[in-house]
Amino acid sequence: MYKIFLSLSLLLLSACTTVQPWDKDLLAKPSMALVPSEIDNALDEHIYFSKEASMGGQGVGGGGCGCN
Amino acid sequence: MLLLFNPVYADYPTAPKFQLPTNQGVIDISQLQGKVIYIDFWASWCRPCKNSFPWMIAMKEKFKDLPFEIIAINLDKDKKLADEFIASQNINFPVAFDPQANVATLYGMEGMPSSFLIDPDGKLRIRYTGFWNKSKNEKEKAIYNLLNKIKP
Repeated sequence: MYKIFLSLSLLLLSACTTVQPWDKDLLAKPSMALVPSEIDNALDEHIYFSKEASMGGQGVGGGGCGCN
Repeated sequence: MLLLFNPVYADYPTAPKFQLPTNQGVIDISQLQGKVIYIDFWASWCRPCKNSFPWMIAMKEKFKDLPFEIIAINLDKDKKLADEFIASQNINFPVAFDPQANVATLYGMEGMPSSFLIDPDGKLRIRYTGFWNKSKNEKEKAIYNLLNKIKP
């Protein structure tokens, strides 16, 4: 049972592959951005920092960009 | 975080040869032997790629009387998107189409855009990943240095 699980996981992990730079066209679409509006998000982050002294937990910097 | 740097090739490998279609026929890079060639892989969905076109157009114009060629290789899967962008620019160099990314795979790249500087002997000199305003002068100098190596 354990061996079946192990071999199945190894098989599935072989599907992990690097995405080539030229295949990132869908990632570059605005609908794929991690935050809907970057400027609003930056303002929200500042408000949270000012009110709560908290940082982070928002989108990843530069995330979703298909170029790099 | 992706580490982006511009490696100077240590042993100057031979640049892979290719033939690709353009809107004006087929381009064969082996016919450009003896010139300094700047190859740029780009796509219409990549904003830094689009931002690099004014600089490339300016470089081609600046060195137009010298043996310098630029080939922009488009990697869009939908050619219509590429043609739309091409129509919006005054491009003064050939734009080739490589939707299957065959040539892109041959050259190898880390991100978009990727540019390659090839010397007159057909050897790869420098690979540039990304398009950065701060490295425009450095790239121009690299092109100029290679052009100086060509005997008149």
